[in-house]
Amino acid sequence: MIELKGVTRTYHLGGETISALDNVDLIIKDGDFIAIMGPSGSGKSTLANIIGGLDTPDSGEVLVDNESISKVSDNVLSFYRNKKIGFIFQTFNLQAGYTALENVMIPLVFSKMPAGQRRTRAIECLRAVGLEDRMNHKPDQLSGGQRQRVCIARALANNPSIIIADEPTGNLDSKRGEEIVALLKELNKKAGISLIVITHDPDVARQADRTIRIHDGKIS
Amino acid sequence: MRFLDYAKLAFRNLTRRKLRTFLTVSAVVIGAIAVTTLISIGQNVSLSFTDMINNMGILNMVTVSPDQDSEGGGMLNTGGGDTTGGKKIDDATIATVKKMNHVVDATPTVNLWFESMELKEGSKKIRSNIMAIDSDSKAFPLDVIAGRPMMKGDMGKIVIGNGNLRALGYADKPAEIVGKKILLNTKGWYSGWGADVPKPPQDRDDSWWKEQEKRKQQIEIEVVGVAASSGDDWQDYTSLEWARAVQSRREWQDNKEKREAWEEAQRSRSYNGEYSQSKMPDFMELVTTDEMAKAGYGAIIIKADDSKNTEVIAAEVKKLGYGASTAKEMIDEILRLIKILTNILAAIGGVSLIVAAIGIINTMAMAIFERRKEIGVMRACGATRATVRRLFTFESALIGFLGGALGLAAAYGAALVGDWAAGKFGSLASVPIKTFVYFPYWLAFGVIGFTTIIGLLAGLYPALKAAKLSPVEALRQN
Repeated sequence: MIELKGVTRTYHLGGETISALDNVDLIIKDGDFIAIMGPSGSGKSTLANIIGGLDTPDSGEVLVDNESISKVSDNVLSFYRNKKIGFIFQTFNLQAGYTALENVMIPLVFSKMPAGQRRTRAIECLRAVGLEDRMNHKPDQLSGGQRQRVCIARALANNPSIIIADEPTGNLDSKRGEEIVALLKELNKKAGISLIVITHDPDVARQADRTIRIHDGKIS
Repeated sequence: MRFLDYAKLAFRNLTRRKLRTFLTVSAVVIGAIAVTTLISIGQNVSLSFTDMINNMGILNMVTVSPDQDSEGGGMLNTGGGDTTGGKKIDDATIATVKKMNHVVDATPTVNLWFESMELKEGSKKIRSNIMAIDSDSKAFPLDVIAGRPMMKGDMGKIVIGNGNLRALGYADKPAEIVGKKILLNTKGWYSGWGADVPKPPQDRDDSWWKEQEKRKQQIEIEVVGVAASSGDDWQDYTSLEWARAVQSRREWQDNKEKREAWEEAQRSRSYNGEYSQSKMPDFMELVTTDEMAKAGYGAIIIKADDSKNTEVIAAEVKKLGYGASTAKEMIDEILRLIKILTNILAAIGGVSLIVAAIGIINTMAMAIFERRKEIGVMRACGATRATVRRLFTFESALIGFLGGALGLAAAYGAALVGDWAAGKFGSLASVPIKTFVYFPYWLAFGVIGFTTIIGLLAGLYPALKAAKLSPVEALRQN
């Protein structure tokens, strides 16, 4: 369970103070599929980043499975990202020059999994996204949809309990987008992974259990 | 992350930017070559010098000089019997020294100074530097590679050293110079062995003496042997007995007694009325003075039972009021100088490594700027700040390591080529370097370790910047 209590996060941009999150309270239960919607700059990415442990709040508290991640060391937070969170990006952020398999193995390297087991685990993840026959292809040899699948496989590598997807369909055509959302939903339902999707697309949001709308840092 | 993962990732990242990596590594390679070569040359000189000294067998020698203050005169500065200062070295001194603890044997030495020498059959004039030693003494055993060794009582015979052998063009045929006659060109006023000392005419005046002063002579001697390469290469050797004869001063002197006796006789004859104005005969006689006995020997060479004991002997000798120097002092001093020189050379090489380090900093700063997004992804995938820092530090250390290893290999190759060239052109005779290939383990590991550390240090600042990067910031980059 993810619990946000009075989370505030402000940014300083060129002397101007921007309130990205303003006293946000939120509870996400295990296995929830949450869509986060809101205009650009509303604070939805900041919310996702704070839940994902990429960012920390200025005040307030974030509890994940009853453990605070808002004021912990870099090591603890990194371990949290590594073990509990899977990130999916709009631009995939795959390592160019690495094969699909090697990309999926990256989180396994950071989790100190023995080298011999990494490959087996990465192949499992690629199979789960239907890409085991493309595992030796590099990102530039894959289509957009396939790249996003590799990205999902990478997010799955360490068996996360939460997947955070920031505009996962933003760079894909609608058909590929639908396939990706279907895949994410499947993971959510079958594996019980909590799914937090930031999206502009009402069709995506409609499939979520719950949609959270953010405006000027506040949940409406 | 495991060490092997860092290594693999760093290597992979480096090979991703081949040209840039190549250029950055090249700078380190050049620095490593410079440092390796310069240190290696310094080491070579040092080793060759030590070898040379060992071959000379003078490590267990102590040189005694008359002047206690001139102890810095160094080895084989065996003096020329000049005792304007200091204590006279005579046979009694030698007897005392020989009885000292740890002394195997001792020989007096005397240096003979001539202006030059040449082959009688005709040759260029070469430097003459003849040292007389006790040929029976074990203190300075003089082996010969041709002819025979010095013998006690040899008169007008020398054993020629390798320097003059080469100078006279007999380097390849030492046996042929044995038996050759050599002319020694004396300074003015020479009246020793072999000199023609004309009797002053009765009507002599100042101009006659002046002429004598200027008159230089040639004395003829014979080469009986060629010294094995040992001691001072430019030294020729002879017997003490001949040195004594050479240094003797012979001059015509008025025999006062005889003259007075004659004058007395004249007077009495005149008294007896036998007036006859007979012309006064000349009472000049050739008188020989043993200058060497007066002035003492130039120096003593002592052979110690072990090079460790040379200092003890030197201290004993100094108590007697003489100067004493050991080869060790001089060798230590020279080795110290070589070491300083080596360090200076290494520092010069080090400058190029500093330049290489700046190159590494630049490369790493650029790499990190370009790979911000990648850093963000790594952080999102669970990399800690420390992991990011280590990864980039590892990468730059790897640049240093590769540069060092390749530089060492290149320097080794260059040294092999140097050896080959030196062998081919055979010019090593005058250069005290036996081989250019001298890479002890400490130098090899030292150079690679040093460049690796330089790479690591150069990468530290960019890596720290990369680690400090907020993951959100990093991921936002496009």
